[in-house]
Amino acid sequence: MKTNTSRKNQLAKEWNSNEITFAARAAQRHVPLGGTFELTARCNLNCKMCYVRLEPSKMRGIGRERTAKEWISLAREAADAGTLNLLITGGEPLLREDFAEIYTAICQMGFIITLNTNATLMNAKYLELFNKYPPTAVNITLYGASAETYKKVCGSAATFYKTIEGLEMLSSIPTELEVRTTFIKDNVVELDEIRRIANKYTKRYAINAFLNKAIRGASSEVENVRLSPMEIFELYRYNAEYYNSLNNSDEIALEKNMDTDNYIGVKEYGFDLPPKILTCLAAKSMYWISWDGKMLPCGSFSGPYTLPFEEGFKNAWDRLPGLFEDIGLPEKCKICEYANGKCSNCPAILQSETGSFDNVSEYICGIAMERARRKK
Amino acid sequence: MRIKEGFLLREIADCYIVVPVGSRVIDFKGLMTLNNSGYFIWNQLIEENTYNNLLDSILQEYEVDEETAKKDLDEFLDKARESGVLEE
Repeated sequence: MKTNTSRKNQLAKEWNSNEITFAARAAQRHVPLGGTFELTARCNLNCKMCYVRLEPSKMRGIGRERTAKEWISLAREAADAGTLNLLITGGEPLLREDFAEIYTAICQMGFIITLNTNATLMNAKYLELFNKYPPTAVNITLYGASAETYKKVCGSAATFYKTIEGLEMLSSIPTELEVRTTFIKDNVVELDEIRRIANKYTKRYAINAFLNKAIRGASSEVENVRLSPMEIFELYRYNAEYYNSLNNSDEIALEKNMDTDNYIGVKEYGFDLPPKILTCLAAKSMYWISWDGKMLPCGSFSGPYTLPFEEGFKNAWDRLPGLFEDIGLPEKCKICEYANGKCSNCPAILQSETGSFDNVSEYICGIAMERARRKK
Repeated sequence: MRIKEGFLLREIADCYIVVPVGSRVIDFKGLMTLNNSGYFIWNQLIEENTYNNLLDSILQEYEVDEETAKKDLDEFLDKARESGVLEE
């Protein structure tokens, strides 16, 4: 049969020029392009601000970690449904005894894999594994520039040296390395020094200081240790000044946070789709599967959720957006003067901060006000 | 010539995307996307094939003149070489 060659695939072109456009087109087709497998809530660090870490005893009261066989089978279903980008995270994923089994299997399925790790558990076996099957990208957390700071932030001084050893190892594998720091009161003075350490291994260094309360049964000290809205924006300004002074397009300020200005660009990129309450790609072309097997729009939600291990991936993905159709922002948010781009208007953050979608959060309002003040 | 082992062609959101599998991540130079004719050529190169054979196949499959077919084929092969997926 003759085929008309002028039927060019526009999406192919668009992918090359603009990845987010492809993500938006995936959203328009309800394709679960980007996923996260949160393999465990366990972590060998005990960071004051962590939103997700659970002790094994507490995990047992909530659910169970899914087996390697279950994750591998679910990954196959996800690939069939159209997942391309897969983030492997925790907790600390390398803590799982069967990590290599899961990782090796999913590496054969045609995903673009990103690994989140604190690097402290890197060893010769993992190095061999990642040299054989390199993740496309690895994000490593670095919480301080000294053992003392690690003791204060993560509960263990020795893990500072373990992190550096892990960084050394991971920087030797062919992958896109990014070092990330979450800033709280205990490590904020070390920004320059932490960035200097990170830059020994990679130019990609990202900061985050927009921190929310622990969710899904976890507990943290975040309310006592997070920076005030003014301190957050000062930190970002200070970091941006450093990069501006470099005047080098290869090295730019990277900011990773849950308070991204995702409101901006929703229409431009074409993901102004139902459920309208979600102004980003969550539940449109992205999903998160928690350690105990709940499918959520993103990792900051506690619910509502579907159950992909029980009902099948495709069914869980198809049902997910519908669960958010009747959820709205608090009335006060709808009429707020900062609603139009100065606040993230993110229901996940409201849920984290207040335990519900109906309440206003003083912390979030403070951030929106500070952002608005600075934009004036 | 042929496509090296260790690459998968995936159809996602009506788009053909070449992804490396396992250790192929190391020598894969960025994502490769294919249009409809690229998809067709890819499938002709899963097993050993020659330039002239490929050209003939394109002319049989598509309503195009030889010049256009050559252009499409050369574009594909350049892209495939650049992405490191072609074994010659």
